[in-house]
Amino acid sequence: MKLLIVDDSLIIRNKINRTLLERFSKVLRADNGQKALDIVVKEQPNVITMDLTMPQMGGVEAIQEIMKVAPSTHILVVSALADKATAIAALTYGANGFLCKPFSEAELTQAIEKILDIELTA
Amino acid sequence: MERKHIDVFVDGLKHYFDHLDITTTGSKGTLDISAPYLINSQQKLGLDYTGMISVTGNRTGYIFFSAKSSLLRFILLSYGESDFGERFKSDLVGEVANTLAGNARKHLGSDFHISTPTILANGIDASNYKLSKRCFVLPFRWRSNKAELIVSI
Repeated sequence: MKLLIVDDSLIIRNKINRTLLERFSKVLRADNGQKALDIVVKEQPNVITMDLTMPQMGGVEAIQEIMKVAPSTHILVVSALADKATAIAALTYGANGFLCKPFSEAELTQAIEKILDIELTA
Repeated sequence: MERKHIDVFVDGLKHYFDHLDITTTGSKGTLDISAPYLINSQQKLGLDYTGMISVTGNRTGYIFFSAKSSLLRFILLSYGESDFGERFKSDLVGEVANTLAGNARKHLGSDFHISTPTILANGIDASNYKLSKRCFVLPFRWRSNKAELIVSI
């Protein structure tokens, strides 16, 4: 399985990568929604962790565009935006789950397992 | 700015530092939050690194997270980083500012719109910002290292 990490923060991309690296055959990274969309078309990742507040193209727009080209992709939104309306909007546009920052490694792993409905093994 | 709004950011700070991974730092570390105070226009603001979020929507203004380099080093450690250079510290202050501002939407509503972070070097030049008359500073220390959250909304 391929994982795409989308976040404008380098340390968050690194944290997600360190947590999930051994559980995926390939990990890709993007720091905004437009780059994520380009990678989705080229690499067709199975799972995406998606930040919402990013420059150039934010996460909500990226999710909508990704759903047009790869509707079976599993998307976990990982965002600091902690209000219910944002979570509901992300899920409405096609995300499969929502994890609020700050998060622990265990919370991230559990959230990925939940959207895939499988237990991840390292 | 009302008292309950200050509590939103105090709770946000506690929540953020509660979530830091202690595997690499050994222990949780104490978070000491001092009493908030209102700033005056002559006051020098900001520490070594500052992340700034612009706020629009149901409120307008700014949220700044500013910290001494030593505090950022500890947070980077908790993220599992071993590079404590300029790039990582700048990224971190932006991410913390974004997280604290974003978490506040739980209480301030989804019309509390926040920007992506801007990183400021050498403190905050207050003359560049139209700060609220009720702009407050929330000073705190984590592991004895100084930081402050400045809220002007």
